Amino acid sequence: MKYNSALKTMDAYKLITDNATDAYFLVNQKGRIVYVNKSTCDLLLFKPEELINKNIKRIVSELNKKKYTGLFTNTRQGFNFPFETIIKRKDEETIMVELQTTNIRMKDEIFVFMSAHDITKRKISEEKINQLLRITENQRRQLDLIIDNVPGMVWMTSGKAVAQTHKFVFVSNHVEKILGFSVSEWLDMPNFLHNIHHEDRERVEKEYANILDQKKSGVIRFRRKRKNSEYIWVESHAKVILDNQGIAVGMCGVLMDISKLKELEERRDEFISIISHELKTPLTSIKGYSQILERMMQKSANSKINRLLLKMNVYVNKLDNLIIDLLQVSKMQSGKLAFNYEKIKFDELVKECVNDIKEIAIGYNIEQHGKTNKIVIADRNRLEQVFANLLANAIKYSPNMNKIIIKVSSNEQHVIVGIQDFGIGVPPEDQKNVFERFYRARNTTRNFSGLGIGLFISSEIIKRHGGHMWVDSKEGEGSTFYFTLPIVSPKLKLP
Amino acid sequence: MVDRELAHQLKNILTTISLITQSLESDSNGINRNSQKKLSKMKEMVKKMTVLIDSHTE
Repeated sequence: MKYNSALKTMDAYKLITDNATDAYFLVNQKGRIVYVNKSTCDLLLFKPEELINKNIKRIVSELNKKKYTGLFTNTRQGFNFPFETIIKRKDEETIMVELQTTNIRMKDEIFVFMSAHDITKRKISEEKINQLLRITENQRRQLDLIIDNVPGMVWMTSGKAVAQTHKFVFVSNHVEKILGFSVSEWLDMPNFLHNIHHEDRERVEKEYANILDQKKSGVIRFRRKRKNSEYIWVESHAKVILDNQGIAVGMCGVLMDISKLKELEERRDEFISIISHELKTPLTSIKGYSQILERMMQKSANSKINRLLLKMNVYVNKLDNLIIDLLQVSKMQSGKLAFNYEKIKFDELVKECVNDIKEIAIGYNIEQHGKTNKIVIADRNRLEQVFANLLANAIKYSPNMNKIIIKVSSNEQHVIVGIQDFGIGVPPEDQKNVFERFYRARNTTRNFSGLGIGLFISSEIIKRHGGHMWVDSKEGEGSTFYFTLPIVSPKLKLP
Repeated sequence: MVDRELAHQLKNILTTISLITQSLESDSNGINRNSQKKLSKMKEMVKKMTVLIDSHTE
């Protein structure tokens, strides 16, 4: 820059600088300000006469005063460099500027020309960004710590509506512990459904498709291959990630090794299967002897014997029912429970079931509301079992109430049954699980005997009929157990 | 856990049946010889069932 030749007079210099947006000022060798442009006054809130002939230190922040001594010497010696500094406004507020200095010779006198660019806003923004970066970094460290301590593999995929197109974009270090792969090896997998056991793959694909379709969360159990080619059972908890428009853009979740749990479940299923089958034969004998004894003693005048025989029959029947239930659970698990479907007038079936239970439930007020006039295809015995189980539960879990309401209705596709009691109810945290095998609501375990298989059997029977079972309950006020069954046309012929 | 609970419930019922048969057996006035035989067979079956359950839960 050849200022000496370009700007020969102060007037010419003013002409250029007065319209500049940056603050320009000229300082003589004594450190006095000899010129300021309009932007300098706007920036520092001084009038020109308040600055002209004043020492530059007037506008320099106390913190920076030392800097300027060296600055003048350096600039006069020709060292020109920009630097960031703090200057003081008239109202004592400080602002950050980027200062550029250079020396100018005019009429044999050397001046220091300074241009100051206000960088206060930029600096505040930078500070805010740095603060956010520090917070983000801190949160990232916390998140890493949490993820590393999750007893499962945390994962995230990127993809749209079809699970097959999803690809892992994140996986926690736990992948090595569970599946034997390193994080980078796992992220290189061709797609999300890779390494799933071929027998599970179709089901898993459907279940993930369902989760993605409904934009919800879900839990899926399947077998996944480890690096050493061994298959292990895993439980995958998945949640759909949606963008601002509500479109699925990925999934995230946790995958856990449930091999030991599966082993226990298998041992339990085996136990149930063996025990129910092996007990069947001696139980048949006990039932036979009990019936023979009852016949033999029919004419006995001994009331004590009659009372004991009656009691024995009650317990033998209880044992019988328990073994039948266990056998059913076992058959359901192995997919061997047979169903004999027939066309049934639904209202007639309900009437029969209600009448049956009324005969046993003496002292109970059982009301039936509604009618469907619909036909369903069902296994009569199995449906009777569902009604008997739900009504028996309604009685069992309403120790101080004697009213039960059976509500029957229909929509275009289904008949809907609701069995309402006014008993102890199901706690909210148990409502989702009461249809699981051997699950018992926490308010039942102390005062009510049972194994938690009745609702599981009923719900499975309804599922096999293409229906659905659920509960609506308030603890301490009662429950309504609902189920649906698909309606069929009266003209439909069974194969 | 379930195995034990299940075994416990089954054995509870079997114990009750066993106690009832013992009470019936002890009532020598009301039970004839033929019935006594049936009761003892029943007791045998109850015992068999208990042993079976124990063998699978131990």
